[in-house]
Amino acid sequence: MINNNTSVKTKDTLYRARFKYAKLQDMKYLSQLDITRIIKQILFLVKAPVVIKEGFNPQLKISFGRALPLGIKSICEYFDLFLYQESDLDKMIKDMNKKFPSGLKILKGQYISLKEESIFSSMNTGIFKVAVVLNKDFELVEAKIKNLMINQAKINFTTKNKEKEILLATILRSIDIKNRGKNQAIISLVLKDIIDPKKILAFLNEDIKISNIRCLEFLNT
Amino acid sequence: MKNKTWHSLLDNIYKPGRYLGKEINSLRKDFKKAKIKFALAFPDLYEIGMSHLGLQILYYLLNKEDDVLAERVYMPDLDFIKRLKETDTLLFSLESREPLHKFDLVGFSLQYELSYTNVLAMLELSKIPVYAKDRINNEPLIIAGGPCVSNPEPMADFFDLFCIGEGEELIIELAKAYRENRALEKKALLWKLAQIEGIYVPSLYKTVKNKKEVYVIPKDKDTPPKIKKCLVKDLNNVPYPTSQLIPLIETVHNRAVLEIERGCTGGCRFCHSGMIGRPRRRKSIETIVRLAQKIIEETGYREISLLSLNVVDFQGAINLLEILVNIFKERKIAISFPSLRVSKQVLELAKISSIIKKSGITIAPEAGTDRLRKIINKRITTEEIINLVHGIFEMGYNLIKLYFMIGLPLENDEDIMGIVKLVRALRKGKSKRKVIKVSISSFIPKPHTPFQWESQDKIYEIKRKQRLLIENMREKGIELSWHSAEQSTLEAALARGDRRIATVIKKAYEAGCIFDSWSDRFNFKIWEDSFKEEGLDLSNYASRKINIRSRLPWDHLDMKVNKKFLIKEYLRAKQEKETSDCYKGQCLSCEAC
Repeated sequence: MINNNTSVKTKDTLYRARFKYAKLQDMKYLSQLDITRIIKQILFLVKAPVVIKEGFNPQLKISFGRALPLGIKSICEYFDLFLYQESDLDKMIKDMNKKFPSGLKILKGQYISLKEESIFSSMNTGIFKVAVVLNKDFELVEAKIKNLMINQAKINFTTKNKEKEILLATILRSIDIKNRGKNQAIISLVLKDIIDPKKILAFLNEDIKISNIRCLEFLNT
Repeated sequence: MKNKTWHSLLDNIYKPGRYLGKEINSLRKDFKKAKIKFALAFPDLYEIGMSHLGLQILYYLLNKEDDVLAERVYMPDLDFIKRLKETDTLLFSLESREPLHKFDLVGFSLQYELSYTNVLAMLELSKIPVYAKDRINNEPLIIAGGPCVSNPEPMADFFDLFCIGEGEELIIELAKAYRENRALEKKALLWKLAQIEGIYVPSLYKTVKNKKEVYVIPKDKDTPPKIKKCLVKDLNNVPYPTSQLIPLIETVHNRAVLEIERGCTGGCRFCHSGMIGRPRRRKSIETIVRLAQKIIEETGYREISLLSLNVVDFQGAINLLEILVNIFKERKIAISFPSLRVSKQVLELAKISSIIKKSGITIAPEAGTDRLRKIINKRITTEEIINLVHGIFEMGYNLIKLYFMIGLPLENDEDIMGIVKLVRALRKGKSKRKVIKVSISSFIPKPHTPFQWESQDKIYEIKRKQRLLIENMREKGIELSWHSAEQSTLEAALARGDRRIATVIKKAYEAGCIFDSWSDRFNFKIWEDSFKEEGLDLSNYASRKINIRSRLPWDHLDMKVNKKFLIKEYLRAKQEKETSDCYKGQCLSCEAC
């Protein structure tokens, strides 16, 4: 790996690598902006052969997936990195993981085509698992969840300081619940667009208490 | 702390990243095994404290010692304070999450007077008695350092000791002395620690008040009448943190910091940092270049800020900058500076650093007229300022920031309008499209400066002058900002306060005052009332003119600069006479060297 980061014009970018990383433990308390800042700094720290765009305020040529709300763990976060030379990705990952705070870890990386669709566009559906403590009987909660999809329910959704009402079915692909015993259950959701699962589950506020939310994967649908 | 407790503490808290610790390059030692446990406390939010170099230096130096553990704690925000109280959780350090009462020493960094009530908040959140005299049950020693301890008297009742001067060598000596004497009972321990040069133990002294003066004397004849500040003689030989902490959330400054010089002989008569920082000492160019490379290597930062009170007059500044630009230009690592003294050298520095990036340029004319600049000993003319700013704009910079001060001694409205005329002159001709950010602060008479005897303008007068500027600078391309007159007044009262103010600070805190440096949380009325209830006058502390023959509440602290020199400079100010920079010419016998 060459030690210096060289400023290369965008058209001369040679390689594109896609990395998958996990955001666990205390890292769930960091925003997407914070995570992207840390990753960028670590890339410079390990002297990865990154491409820096020209301009008044030169920036790294890197793109990230959709931003998860604060408080959600994930084992399926992605970023695409543009490199000016081919590098041993396994070594780069190992070097970066040594520097990351605990809870942040790159799981794998691979080279992809320069023409591959952007992460943001391609990873538009998220699979979430929400661990809950039940305040009511499991059967009652299960029935409510089954009715949710049938009843054409709507939810109020605030985006960019504007509140709008949308059909749940447009964003909720599927939802089900599994009993884990001892008043605990796991609710699985498949959501189109990245919305905080808590908002979807707000209708169960009196019936459950959320103890953990984890994003398991992003899909292109 | 158990997982469940931890998560219930942080859920739905604003910016929970403030309380995580785990920063890249943070140090974690075994809490149980450490023989001396030191908590370094910054009495403001994490984002502010993390940008402070001094705390990082001490953190790094203390942790280098095998048997010493140093951890950090910052002032929690209001929502987290509420959460701590609701859950009956004590304030904890970031690294091991241990409550402060488990540490041997808790050291506060007093950078500005408006953080004083936050100190009390942090002690209370730790269930540590706020008054030193009430700490009799093996509580940690509560100590402080920083620029405010050049007059620590308003906070003297809350602290066991103060570190006067520079902390690098002093803190290690203190840790060593603590190690050797910790078995002693508290009074005897403090007596031992007071023998170290630079350590001030307020309980060994008392306040004397007569009709005209308030001052401090030792309680007994064995106690030295003056405490000398501690000084690092050679900046090249003292270790410097290269593995600087990289915060996980955004902080005020997101860059590497490299101090290149300490102290200033420019002699601006209002300047507290310049006076108490003397004598002037610098790192060698070789040391600076070596450290700069190491810092970037160990942090991955994209910008490095060179800290000095007077970068422009740093010997070899151009040469240094050329070397650094040469090393870092390929990697596009920018080099920036704090505010710059007006000089032709600024153009050269701006030209070289802009090879990588045009970072913001800030210059400090301070006054609007040549006459007032002579009074404050800022040896620059209006013509020089205009030529410099036009030169910067011609280089392609589109924005410049200017610092001014109002309420300076002997100021009149012509000086205020001088600021307006100057700023307008800067925007003439080709510079019309450029943006000028003008920041107006209020003069605060500070201890150990030639203006320490001077009065501060009353609030109504500060506001009148601010209005004059606002009304006359409503133009496109000029962005004006100013400091709150009430906050400046409180700062002046605390800066020149004496030990009687401790009860005022406690009262104000109990009535709800914290985060006083934050304008949206500041409550001046509570402070005014707190002063009144203690039979004191806030306005008088800020605006009183002091006789130069009077003893001062901070006279027992020797900051190296001789009082005779300060008096001489004060009288020269009244005669509108400048004093040259002794670094370039004749010694002026300030006795700092």
